[in-house]
Amino acid sequence: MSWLSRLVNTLRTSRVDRDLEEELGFHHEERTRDLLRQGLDRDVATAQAFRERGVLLRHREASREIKVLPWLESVKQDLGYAFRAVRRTPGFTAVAVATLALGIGANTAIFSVVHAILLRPLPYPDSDRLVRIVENVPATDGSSVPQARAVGVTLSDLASFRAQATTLSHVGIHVPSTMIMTGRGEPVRVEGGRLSPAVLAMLGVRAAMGRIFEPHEEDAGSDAVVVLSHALWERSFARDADVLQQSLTLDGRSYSVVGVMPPGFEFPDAQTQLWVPFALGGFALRARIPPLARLADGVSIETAAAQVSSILPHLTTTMELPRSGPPRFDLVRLQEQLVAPVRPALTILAAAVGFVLLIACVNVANLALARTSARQREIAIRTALGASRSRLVRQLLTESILLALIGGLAGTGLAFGGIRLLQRLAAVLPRRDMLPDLGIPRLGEIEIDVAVLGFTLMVSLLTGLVAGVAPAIRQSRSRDSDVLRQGAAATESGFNVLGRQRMQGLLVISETALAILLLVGGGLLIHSFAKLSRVAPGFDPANVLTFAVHSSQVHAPGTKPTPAGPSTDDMLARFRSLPGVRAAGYAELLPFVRFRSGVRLRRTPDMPTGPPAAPPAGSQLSPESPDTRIVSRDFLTAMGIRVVEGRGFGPADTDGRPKVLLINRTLARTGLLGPHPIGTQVYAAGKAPWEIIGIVEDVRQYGLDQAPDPQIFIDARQLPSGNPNPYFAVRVDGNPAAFAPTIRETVKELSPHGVVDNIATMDQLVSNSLSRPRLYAVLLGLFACVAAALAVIGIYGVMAYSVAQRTREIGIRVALGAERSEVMRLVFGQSLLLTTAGIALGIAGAVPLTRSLDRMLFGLSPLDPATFIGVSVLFAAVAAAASYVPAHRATKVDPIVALRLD
Amino acid sequence: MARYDSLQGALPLLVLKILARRGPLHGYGITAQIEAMSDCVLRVEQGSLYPALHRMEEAGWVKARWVLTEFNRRARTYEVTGTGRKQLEIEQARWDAVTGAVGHVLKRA
Repeated sequence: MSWLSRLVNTLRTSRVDRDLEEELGFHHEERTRDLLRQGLDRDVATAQAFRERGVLLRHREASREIKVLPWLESVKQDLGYAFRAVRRTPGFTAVAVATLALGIGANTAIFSVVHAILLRPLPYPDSDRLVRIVENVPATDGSSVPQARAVGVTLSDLASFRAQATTLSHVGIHVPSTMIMTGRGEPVRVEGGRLSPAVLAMLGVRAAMGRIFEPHEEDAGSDAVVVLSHALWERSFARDADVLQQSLTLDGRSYSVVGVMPPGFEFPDAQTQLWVPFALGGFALRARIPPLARLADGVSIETAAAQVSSILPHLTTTMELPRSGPPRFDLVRLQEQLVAPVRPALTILAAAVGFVLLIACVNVANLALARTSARQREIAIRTALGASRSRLVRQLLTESILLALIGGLAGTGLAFGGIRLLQRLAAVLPRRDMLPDLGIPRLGEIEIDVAVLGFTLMVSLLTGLVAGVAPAIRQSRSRDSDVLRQGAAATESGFNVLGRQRMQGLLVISETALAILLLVGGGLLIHSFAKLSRVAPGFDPANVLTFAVHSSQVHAPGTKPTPAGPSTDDMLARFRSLPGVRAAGYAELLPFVRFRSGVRLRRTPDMPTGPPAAPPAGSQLSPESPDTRIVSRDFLTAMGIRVVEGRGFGPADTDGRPKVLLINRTLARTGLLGPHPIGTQVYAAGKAPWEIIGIVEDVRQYGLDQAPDPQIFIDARQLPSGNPNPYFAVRVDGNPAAFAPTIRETVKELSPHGVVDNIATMDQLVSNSLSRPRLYAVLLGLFACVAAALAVIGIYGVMAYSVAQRTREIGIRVALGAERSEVMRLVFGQSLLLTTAGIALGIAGAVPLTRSLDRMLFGLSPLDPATFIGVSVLFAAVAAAASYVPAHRATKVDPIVALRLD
Repeated sequence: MARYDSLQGALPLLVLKILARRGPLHGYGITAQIEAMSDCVLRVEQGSLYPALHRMEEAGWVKARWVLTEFNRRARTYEVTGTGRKQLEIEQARWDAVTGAVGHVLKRA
């Protein structure tokens, strides 16, 4: 036969099969006829022919194996059987597919996150050569892991640093900057970046049109050039091909467009729409900014790190920090630095979904085991018909892989939804003034791409294999005699899930253990999150709306904006007079806003000598340089910050009057200002002394998990040089978010150039600050619940199966006078055995593993007994409820019916 | 298949020989012929015969055809092809060589 006809035959198996059947049927008839001719009577002849039929059919199975393209053929046949098996038992199929879809879907979703954030390189050529300089500082929060923090280089040292650091091909800095673009229709605020020409050069992306910056364009005077993002070019320049001839005005200064970046180019984030050079000159040279660098070709990161470590201490202004111990400087890859804060959590989540999948596998294996037992007869018949044992094992594996593939398909659908949910959960306010490290980096890059689909396919196949292994082992161990004794086996005594159903029992115990592990982990995170959200922020976030008002009015370069519009106090007075506003105030900075400012606090008028001692990273500020808040008189009232002792700012505390300030409890407690700080005179800004008039509640300025810093409050009226762009806070009746339109209208009325910006309720800001712990708690909690549900289904399944198999035995027991309660106890006892064994194993596993959660927990030990006991009791209760159904069914067994079963 | 059948090596030879002598036959006919001519010493299991026939068909030694029997029943008959006749010679020669050699050994041992 030709290859073609082989192929045709493979595809037309049914016809070939029918031919074979007919041929064999003919043989059978001829045999019967011969036997008749030999004088056997018809009954005997038919019987003998029938006996030979087994041999005949055995041939059929064997015949198939010798047929065309044997392997492909048998796979196709296995698949055919598998599809039939899957369709014949829709209930089993639905449960198995749903279970696998949950397991595979969760893995697909989390893998897509891990892939996008941790694995996929940053979208720049050779992005693993991009590095940042960090400094390893001793850990402060009790953990032994040293913290790495980015090192800033004073810009006046930048040229010298570049010249010495020969192992770095590019060194540059970038800072985000919000600018007002005018001259193209309405003035618009655009998010931009000021960066060294070296930064665009080191990213290695060419401009789609024109060019990127040239090195000399960071020199003051040559920096009036701008590179546009593709999106801005489309939106504001209508894809004008002549854009390179044009100029645009940013913050009142004219820039010539020199280039447009290709679509998809983002740096450092998707909001950044244009880039201008960071000019090195004048005031800017005093800034200290962490640089970004590219390793020179052929230089290892270690070599470069060694060189950088030797250069940094000798720069004139960089190092005023106390030096201690061996080299503290190091280089980290940009991607590593970006994702480091979420890496541990993502690793934990990946492990958690791995466990969920394992539980799903175990569950499906268990279901399949139960079903294989129910299919013993079918399998026995096929064995008798000549199907080899390896063939049947392969058949079971094919079925389980088919189920896993269907589950994988459904799981991919779930993953799409899961990713949307995750992106929504992890979303933080798209504001640049928020604390760093609130959200998840590269969140927008998460997608289900070819790599993720490939992963899902591999996981599905693997899942199918793993879930199919147990039934297959059982099958390969079973002997024909076992099958033939099947009827007898049902009457064997011993109601014991660890006896005859040992494999199922062990599987249920292991999935319970895994579920407990996840429940403990999820429980700890949820418990910790609950504690964190119960932390009193020190202010009353309810009913407070906050916002900033910017003027879109253009001002000349290098000057302060001319206050053409209403003053801050005029606006405040207007807001206060709005109906529904109970209090209104403004402050230079809000709680949960990233920046801090400080003054030196002294008991004497002498100016301090020497630089201030910088506190180690993450630790509290020293009481001598407290966090300083410049606020309006009513800001504390509007924000709901309580004055606990003394008085707040009054109408009389204006410019020219004796200067007064408020301190917080933490500062009062330090003792720097004596046992009774109220009335004490201190020296802060300016030469005149300040009198402490009150003590206010501690405010968690930098996150609910951060201990309050020493802090002082100064009335803006006594510091006339205050911030021109403060944040307003209004306390209103009812829903503060609903008040936003009123604020916008009011601002528009007051000033045609006024733009309301960064509008959010205080509740939103608090919630925003909890974004990460909430995401982790929700995800791990969700996975734990899925795991627990699967484990409970597993317990239910094995108990129900066990009761069904033992119907006869239970019937006999009842017939012999066993009480219903005894039967109940019998079943419950078994389920309790499984549950407790699983819980004990799970707890034992959780003890070493929860340590990895340590850094994600707030005010909670990773061995928190309440959580451990709580989840165990909860799980035991649910498991008991699940086994009530089969136990109850066992008590309803009618002995007469049960004994008649055989 | 070996456990059902001791004729493994000789079956193709017997089938080819019978088909070459008697012309087209169906599977049952082949069985019957082998049994009859060996005085019921050789029994061919159907489980061996049909796989062998199909293998031989694949190898191109025999050709199968559907015919109608006297009872108006469709039967698949096999006849030997040119290749099959050449193969018969090869198999025959091999068989003779083997049995001859075995005979020698038995005689001289």
